[in-house]
Amino acid sequence: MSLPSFNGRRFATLLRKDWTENWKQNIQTFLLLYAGLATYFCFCTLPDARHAHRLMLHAHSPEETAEWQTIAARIAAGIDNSWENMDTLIHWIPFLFVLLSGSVYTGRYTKNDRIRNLTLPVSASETFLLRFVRTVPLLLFGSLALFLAADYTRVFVCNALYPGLHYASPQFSFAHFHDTQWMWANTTLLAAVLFIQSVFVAVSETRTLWPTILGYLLILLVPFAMSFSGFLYKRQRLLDNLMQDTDFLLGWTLFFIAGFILNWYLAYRHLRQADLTYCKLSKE
Amino acid sequence: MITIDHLSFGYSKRKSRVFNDFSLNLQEGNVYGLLGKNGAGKSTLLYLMTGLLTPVAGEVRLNDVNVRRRLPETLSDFYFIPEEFDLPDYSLEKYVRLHAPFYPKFDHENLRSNLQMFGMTEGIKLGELSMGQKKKVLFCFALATRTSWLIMDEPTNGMDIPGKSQFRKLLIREMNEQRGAVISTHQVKDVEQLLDHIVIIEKGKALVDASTSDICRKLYFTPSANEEEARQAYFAQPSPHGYSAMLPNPDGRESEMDIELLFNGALAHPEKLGQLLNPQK
Repeated sequence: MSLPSFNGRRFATLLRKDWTENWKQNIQTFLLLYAGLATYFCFCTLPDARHAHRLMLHAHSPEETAEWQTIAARIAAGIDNSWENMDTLIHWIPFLFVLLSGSVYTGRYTKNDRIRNLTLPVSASETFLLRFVRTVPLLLFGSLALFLAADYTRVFVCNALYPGLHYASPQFSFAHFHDTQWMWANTTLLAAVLFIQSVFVAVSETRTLWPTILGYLLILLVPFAMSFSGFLYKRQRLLDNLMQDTDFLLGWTLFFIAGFILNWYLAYRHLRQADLTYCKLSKE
Repeated sequence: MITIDHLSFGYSKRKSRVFNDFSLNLQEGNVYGLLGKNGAGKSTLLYLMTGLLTPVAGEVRLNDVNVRRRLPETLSDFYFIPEEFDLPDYSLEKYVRLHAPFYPKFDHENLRSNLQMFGMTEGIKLGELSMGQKKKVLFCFALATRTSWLIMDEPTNGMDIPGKSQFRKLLIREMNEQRGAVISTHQVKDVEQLLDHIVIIEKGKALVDASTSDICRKLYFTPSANEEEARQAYFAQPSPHGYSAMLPNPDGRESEMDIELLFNGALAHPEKLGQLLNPQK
């Protein structure tokens, strides 16, 4: 594809260059996160598995047999105690990625980097698309793959240490998405995550990065807090119920998606206007 | 052709402007020497010429296209070597493989030949090079891109003595009518044999904007003037042989231009030299 400001071949060259220059850093980050996540997952299931395994081998009474069979059934169904721990973590993983992806475009830009990037013969739309591909689809699929890999590792380790039990593989079985209410809650969360990520990307070309981000988030948080407290006051409902209110979640999902689109548009505009003055070091 | 058209620029609204209504034309086929004191705005001018800064007013055009638009076609028609830069930590071979496709006229054979002049090959690891070696490598790469313009900020800083000599030889070999170069430097002795045109800037103004042939036609440079000649000179400074002087040249005598003397003279008597060399300004 070749438009006045977009050339497919040039974009492919840019992708290749970007991957070649950053693959080591990307792989290292993913390996580090994988190791942390896999360790955490293993320690979530291992206590239950150890207990069930011990009872399985040394059960003397019918009560003990019934107990290990119950625990084993829960582990096999993927609803053991570890699920509760992981459930909490699952929702924070995307936030971790948001922070990582935000720092990608803010931390490493020195004056020399900027000169190199700004004088490279590529158009703003090609640079924009590269950023989008890296930050949204690749990061989302990357985090999903990371999660699955860590969970398979948990199953492998548990099987090796305590054989004879069946471990749900993987626990991330999209079980939540079968439930409409949870599906909505997760969709809203995903939209919120993408929105916050887009704030980082949109303002990464500005000199006053953190004040801008804080200001921006404040603008978001005030209406959110008002809407949240108004909801609780009017309907007298608990937070748990709030997460099951489809209208509330739909409204905020749409808001986050609109913000996400706006921020990426701003990011494109910033890329078009980017120059050395965005870099503090350029002042000599 | 690079056209700097009524350019105004300042780093912030509170500070005074670095350039105010500054204009300059640069023609292919010439090597321009951009000279000025520290803080005169040489690097800023290079950044403006390469679209790295946004002017407050006016514009810089390369072949009639505003460089601030940073169109890929414009960006692939000049190569900018900044004073300081980092190169990625991989081999030059890989660097060429990844960067050369952005320059449609890139000449691999030319790169090999340029590197040979500096005693280097494409197999070298960029991460292991000193600053001087990196400059040599990037200079070779810049020449091989076959862009219309080479814009260099202090290109010989950090280079060893043989390196500087090879730099001059290479630049002379690679220059032609379709290609121009702008060199901003304090090391005038490194490049004085190369320059076709001198631009001396001070406080956002071009004190001198003249070709070396024009300067030599209008001025006579002598390293051994007596006191009487020194009094008549536009500018003179003591030297081991009496005075180095820049005299009027009504008879069209030939002399070798002393850029240092010209530079000091331009700063000491900007009006006088300005009237002589740039009467239209």
